[in-house]
Amino acid sequence: MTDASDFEKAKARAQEVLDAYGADEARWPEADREAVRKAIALDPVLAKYQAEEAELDSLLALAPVETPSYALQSRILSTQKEEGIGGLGIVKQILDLLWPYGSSAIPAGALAASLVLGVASGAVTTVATDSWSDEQSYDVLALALGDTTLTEEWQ
Amino acid sequence: MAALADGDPNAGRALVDAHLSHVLAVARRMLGDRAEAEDVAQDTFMRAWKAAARWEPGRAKVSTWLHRIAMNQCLDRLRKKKPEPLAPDFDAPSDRPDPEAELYQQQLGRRIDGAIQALPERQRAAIVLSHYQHLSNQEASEIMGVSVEALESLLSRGRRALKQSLRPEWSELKGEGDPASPDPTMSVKP
Repeated sequence: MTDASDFEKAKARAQEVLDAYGADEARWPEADREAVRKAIALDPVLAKYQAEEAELDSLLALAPVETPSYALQSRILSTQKEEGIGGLGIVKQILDLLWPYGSSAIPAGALAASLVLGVASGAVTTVATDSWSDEQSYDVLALALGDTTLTEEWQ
Repeated sequence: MAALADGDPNAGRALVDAHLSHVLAVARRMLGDRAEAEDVAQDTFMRAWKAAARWEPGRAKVSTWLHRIAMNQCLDRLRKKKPEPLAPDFDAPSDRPDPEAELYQQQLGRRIDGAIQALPERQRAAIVLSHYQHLSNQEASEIMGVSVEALESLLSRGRRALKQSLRPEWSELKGEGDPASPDPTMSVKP
């Protein structure tokens, strides 16, 4: 491919870019920017066309810009509250009340781990009560019932 | 979005602060009506609150996603209210001289807005997303569901139509006497 045909291609693409995106380089596709800039620099007709596109750009910039009102912002934020209460929001609010120190995953994890450990240790450990003497059994029974009197007094 | 899914009100405020002006601008330029644009903006954020829990990071930029929701709502509304009326105040420039420069600027702005409203909706959408919202060609084409080539074609046709319809304003701005006479610089194409 010759340099001349490469330049023709570059000019054609520069034309397309100016047609679509206007004169402002910031709006041009990044991949084309350098080649279009070079083509315009080398071709006075393209440079004139860019200047015309700049005039249209400046005209378009005069179209009014709407800024959001405070009322609209408040209205939108109030809809977030409504949506939040219906979804995960209420759960989050309750968890925040119970554990206001950060992520509620920490106490929830600790509770779950202790439950698992408790159930597991209960399942794998056994207490050999067969070999207990009567006295030992009374002691354990007294302890379980919260009886503060000595077991000797029962007899 | 993750914080938003946790019901964090600050995350909602941050999202509104960062994107409301863009969403409102898209809707206003597409619909040409402030009240309708506000409704679209409100609906767009309501969808964001609802979708926050299902949001997949990395799938799309939040701004692109919000633009797409807003644009789709605008196109739905435009289709429902066809035939498209021309925006008020879109008429030939008055020859009555206006002493107030600011008022003149406002009138000119309204006429330019009217010319944008008069574009076919897909050309208007392309101009709004690419020119006014400064979105990349990839983002704008993704929002519109077209290829980059198709987007460029819509942009070119849109700009050409705007050049044509804004010819009187162009001449007026350049201080040329007869706005009806064609401006030779506008039709020159290499």
